[in-house]
Amino acid sequence: MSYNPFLEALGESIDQSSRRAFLKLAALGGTTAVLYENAVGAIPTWIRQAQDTKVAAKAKRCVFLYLQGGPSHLDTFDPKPGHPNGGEFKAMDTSVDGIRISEHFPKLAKEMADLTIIRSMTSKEGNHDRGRYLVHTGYAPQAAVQHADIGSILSHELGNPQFDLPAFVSVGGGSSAGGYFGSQHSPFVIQRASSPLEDVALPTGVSKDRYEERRKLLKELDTKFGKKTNSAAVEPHENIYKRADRLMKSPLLAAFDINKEDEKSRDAYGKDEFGKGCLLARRLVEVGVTCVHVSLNGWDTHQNNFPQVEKLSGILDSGMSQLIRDLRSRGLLKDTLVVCMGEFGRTPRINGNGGRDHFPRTWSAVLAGGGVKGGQVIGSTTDDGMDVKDHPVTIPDLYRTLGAGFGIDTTQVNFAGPRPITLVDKAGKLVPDLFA
Amino acid sequence: MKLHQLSNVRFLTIFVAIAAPFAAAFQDNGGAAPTKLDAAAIDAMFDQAWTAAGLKAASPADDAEWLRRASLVLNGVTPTADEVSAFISDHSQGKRGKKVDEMIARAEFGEHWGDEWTRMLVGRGARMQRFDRNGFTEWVEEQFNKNVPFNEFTKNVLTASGRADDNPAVGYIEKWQAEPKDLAGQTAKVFLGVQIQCARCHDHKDQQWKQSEFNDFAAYFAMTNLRRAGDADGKPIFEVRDQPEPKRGKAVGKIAKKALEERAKKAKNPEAAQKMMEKAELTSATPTPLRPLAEGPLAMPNITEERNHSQDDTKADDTKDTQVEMSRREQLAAWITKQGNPYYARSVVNSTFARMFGYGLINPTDDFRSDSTVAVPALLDALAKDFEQNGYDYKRLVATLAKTKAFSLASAGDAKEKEEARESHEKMFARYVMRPMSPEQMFDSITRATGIDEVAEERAKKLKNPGKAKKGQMTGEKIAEMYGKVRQGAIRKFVTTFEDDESSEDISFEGTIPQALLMMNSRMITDSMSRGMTVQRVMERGNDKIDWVYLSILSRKPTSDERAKSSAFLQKNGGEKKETIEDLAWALLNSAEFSTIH
Repeated sequence: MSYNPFLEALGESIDQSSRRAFLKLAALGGTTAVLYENAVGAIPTWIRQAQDTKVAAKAKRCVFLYLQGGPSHLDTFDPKPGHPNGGEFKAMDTSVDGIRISEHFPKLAKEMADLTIIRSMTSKEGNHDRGRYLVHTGYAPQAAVQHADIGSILSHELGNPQFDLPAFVSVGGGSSAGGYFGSQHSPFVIQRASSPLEDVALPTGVSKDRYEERRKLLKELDTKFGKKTNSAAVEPHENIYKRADRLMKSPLLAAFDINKEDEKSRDAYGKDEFGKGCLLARRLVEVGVTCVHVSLNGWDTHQNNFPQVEKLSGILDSGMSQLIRDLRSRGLLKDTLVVCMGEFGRTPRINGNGGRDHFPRTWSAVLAGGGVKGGQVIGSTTDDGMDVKDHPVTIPDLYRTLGAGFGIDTTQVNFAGPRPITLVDKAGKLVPDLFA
Repeated sequence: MKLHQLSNVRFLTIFVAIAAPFAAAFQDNGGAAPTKLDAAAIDAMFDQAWTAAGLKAASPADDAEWLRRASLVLNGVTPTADEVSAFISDHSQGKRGKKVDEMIARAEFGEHWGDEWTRMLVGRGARMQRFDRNGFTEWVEEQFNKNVPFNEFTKNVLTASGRADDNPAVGYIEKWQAEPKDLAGQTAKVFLGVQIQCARCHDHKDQQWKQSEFNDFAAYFAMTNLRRAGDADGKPIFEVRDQPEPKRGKAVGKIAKKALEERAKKAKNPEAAQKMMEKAELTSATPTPLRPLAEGPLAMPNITEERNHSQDDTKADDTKDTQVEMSRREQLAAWITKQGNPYYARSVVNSTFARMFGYGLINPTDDFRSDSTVAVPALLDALAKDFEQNGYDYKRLVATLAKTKAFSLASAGDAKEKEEARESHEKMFARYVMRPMSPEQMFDSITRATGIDEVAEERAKKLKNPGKAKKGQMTGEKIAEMYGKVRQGAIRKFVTTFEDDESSEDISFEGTIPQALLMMNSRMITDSMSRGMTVQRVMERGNDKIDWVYLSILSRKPTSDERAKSSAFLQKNGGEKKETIEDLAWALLNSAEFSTIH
């Protein structure tokens, strides 16, 4: 084994295979471990776990605000006014000294004390489908495996199967699916937050009694069929009908109806579908839903980047800031993680159509709540925004770290068909200092 | 637990032992005209395999169960009540075989198998379509109904050029945006049953393909371009065309590559630049076929030597009469469809087998590896060889498999049987594998079971002539278009996998809550029941109403116990009126029995 300065400092050599040495190292905290990892490569699983336990697991729920299409970091959370790549927007001060974001986020600027901005996100996936897959599952697409969406992982790890509502709800599409965890962990998809939930009410003309009679008959049929065939098909069928039935009858169903909210608090989120989605997300996590995914589409600005991004920024600013305020005032922010990002960034150089193209090399992500340390920026990009200058963070890095924030060991192995697979890509390293 | 999670070792040891005699039987027939493989020969192989494995084949499925299965597998939809009724009261000899031939001849055969292959080639299609998926699907369906030899079909898919509105076969290249690496991965997966994408970015220790091999294979698509050729109805029309091969001289090739690199450097969009660089790289690579696997049950040692010459061989074969050099895509198609290709015929028959029997002889069907295990290896080789030597006759392949004993076995297991025993029977096809319908089969069967398909067809026929349509009334075409949209929307709800271009081969019985809600409460189901012909026809019948509800929805007659229970249900809830019949129909339609192929 090669010379290692960190172990040298501890006065022990790696050749002794001393478990104690590793644990001591881990005890020094995330930063050291990452440095260590960079120096010698992979760390055994048991030391990874020892490290992960260093992150206090506070998060219990998650809201993922997905900026579909991929916004430019320069026009949002990593402004570079003055540089030709910086574009048309100015930067504005936030409530935290020294952290500046786009002038079109005045409301979020006030919440900076609760936000962490990661300015050094980087990936290799510059195609929408592949990028979307990566940010939702933590893996680059591989032909033979369907990975699970992060929401599905949370549903599997933290969801209570006895809960009336689905553990994972997706508003406005864009999320992935249950993958190797099966479709019972796929998101319950709602196209529009403002539309009534589909198919939860009995069809016109079918009374409750009539429905119960139908259900009783159906149950008999399925039980008989199950006995007759001894097939694995019947039990899951019954289970999913049971859950659908429970959802239809649940008093918690009201949480899906944002019109139950008074007009003033509704308006605070913005009158657009994204704002309504954020409101719905708050209502759902409030009653116990584990993960809500809300999409804001339109960031794929190959043309007319600036007017479009200005408009979208306003929408994001209202929805996200109000979500954070509402979660905080309800005492939910401390254990509800809010993640906001697209599938990649956009080219720093502005193209001939006043647009920016796909750019996975550098982009930003914003996090809040669930134990995330507020008021900080992690990583930075070069002056022209083209490269990550320090602390590069990949999606596997981020998800491994967030997993630790939820108390989930993301190195645990599951099986996708015959293939063993870890919850998060093994390449993921802990991001130091993300959690308080 | 899914079948392919099981340990394969046990099966491997058993089957290595019995594989040899069969393989020998098919290896050398001394140059005589090849005999055609028939169902009886396949039955014999299965029998021997089951005996060797100590498995007892399930009892045969009854006529109704068999007909429903055949209809779903061959035509993609459950049979009509009339068809079931006629079939179970037909006592003539060989009626199952005749039924297979009848189903193979129906337009629904091409519609179903065309749908299946379209899905394999281009996916189900995300919401935003960049190409005319419908045009491509129709073309594929036509190929299957005309029974175009499968090797011809393959060649057409891989080598099509021209505008999409003139030649819908270009849809495959169009769908993958003429991206050499995407096309290489997809082509290997669909036609060859191998996953090479893993080697796209770098070499993996545990993968069998190297990045250089991936790139050399992708080079077959390096000269193919997609450009916008015009617009029609406000939608862009794309054209696929191959650029001329750069002159072979080293210096000239270098100059061509350099020019592309220069262009890439100037590109503002780094992604586009990267793609140009990749393509430039592949332009100068030598297109090379995939090597055969060196070991394992799929190894074909006699082909190994051939590999180095195969490229020249195909060129020599096809350019005898003409002096025209084959394009790279033509060379690829020639290699893939050349007799003795170690992957092609095996992969095609295996994918087809899996769609008929629930699992492939090798699983997953798109990931052949050195350590793959093959259930009944002799059968896989025999099917592949037969397919190759008898004109890649797809209808014959499907019909032969549908006439086997294995296809006729019951799907029900012994109630006391352990899960492991069930799985070992299913894995060896000693029992027919019960599985959920595909979303397409599900939607089409719902419309058939409720009789709403007839109503839609009638309306479409009446209004076929747009001149006759009253103002504000829809034309037949419009109705067909709307029906297509409703179908797509409903299918999307039944799709449990990721809503994008990958279609998972996993069999999973878990539905989703929205699916259950859709089946229980949606307007689609409620309207189909109240407006479809099924309940209406049942109401016109005498004292066999319950039988006809069962025949229409579950494609079988009720048992006497079920008849009595259903009768009691109707009596309790207001007698044999439309509403209560609908309640009964609702329960049958929502049952696990309806939503599965068994």
